[in-house]
Amino acid sequence: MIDRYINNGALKTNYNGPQWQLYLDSIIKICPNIAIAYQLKAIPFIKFGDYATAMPLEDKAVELDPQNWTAYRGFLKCIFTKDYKGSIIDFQNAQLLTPNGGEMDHTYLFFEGLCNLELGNYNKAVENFRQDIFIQTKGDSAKESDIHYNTSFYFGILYYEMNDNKKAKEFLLKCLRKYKQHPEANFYLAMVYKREKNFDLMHKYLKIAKESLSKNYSLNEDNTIYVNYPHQISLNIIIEEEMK
Amino acid sequence: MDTAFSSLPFPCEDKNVMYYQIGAKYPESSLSILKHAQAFTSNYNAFSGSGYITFRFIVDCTGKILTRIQVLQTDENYKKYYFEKGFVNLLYAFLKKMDKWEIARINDREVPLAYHAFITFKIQNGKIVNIIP
Repeated sequence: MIDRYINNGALKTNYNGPQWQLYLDSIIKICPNIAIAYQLKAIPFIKFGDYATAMPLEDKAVELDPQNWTAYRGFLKCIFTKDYKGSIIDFQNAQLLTPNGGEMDHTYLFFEGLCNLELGNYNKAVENFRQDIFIQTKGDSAKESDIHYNTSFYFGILYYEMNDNKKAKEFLLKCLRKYKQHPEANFYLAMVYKREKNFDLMHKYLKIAKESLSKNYSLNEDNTIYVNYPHQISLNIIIEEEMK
Repeated sequence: MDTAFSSLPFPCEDKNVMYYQIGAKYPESSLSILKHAQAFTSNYNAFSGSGYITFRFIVDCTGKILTRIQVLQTDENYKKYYFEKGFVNLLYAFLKKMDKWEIARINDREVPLAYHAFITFKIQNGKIVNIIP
């Protein structure tokens, strides 16, 4: 059934076309308990702002197969609909269902940290990112190079928001050691130096951020083609800073 | 809402292409749009409600939004909901001021192709708190 309607059906078509929905409606009609059919059916809706259609389908997928789809729904709430409180609930449930699992190249704690950062729950976010790093390095400080650059980036942003310039620089520089063109890490490092009134270094990092964005470097997450990540910047923000 | 129809200028074609298929996400970050939207709406009366107001539309091959707009509204639990008409109209007025839409490009060359795009305003207690995408 899955081969016929999904693997050799919907997945052979464009999800923005009518055949995609036809295949998925067919399998749902015949067998309404296949979670992935609902998740796939929701894709074009979530990517085009139709949340009233998309989210009940995601809910159904989670209801039918919570182990596989709870973290994914948490990801959608964090990145696509900016429902940070709802996302935290999903990732905490996912942690119970599939402990220390991952979603979209990150641990559940990464997304929980990101949501707490955006909600202003800074102490919780610190704890989340520490645990995220612990999972990535397996608690071995010698494995610091295993830490994802966007963990370091958002940890740096967190300390920037907490007015801790020293730690903000430490983590943003860690991110840049791994990915020197990271536009956002360069930009927010410039903002830390601005706060310290170190205008030479501010302009140095603004210049790198601008050049990196102009060459189409990004914070390098798969879904930025559809939606902006928290604290993602654009060229006009850098230009406004340069002109201040 | 606005049901006026505006057709595509020749030789622009609508082949049902989405903004993300041609890398045409609005070139300003959500943070930047949010700042401008909050400034634009700051002088108006207080509104109420929490959830999402989405405008879906077509961008023609000169980078202009067609006035054929679809408006979708939900509460914060993604259930259908209707915000005050004045609020929706105010956000629509802001949308019409967004004038940096990309022109469709394939392999770095401009092509006479319209594309479908959207902007969602996330609302909390009548205030804009986030922009999607």
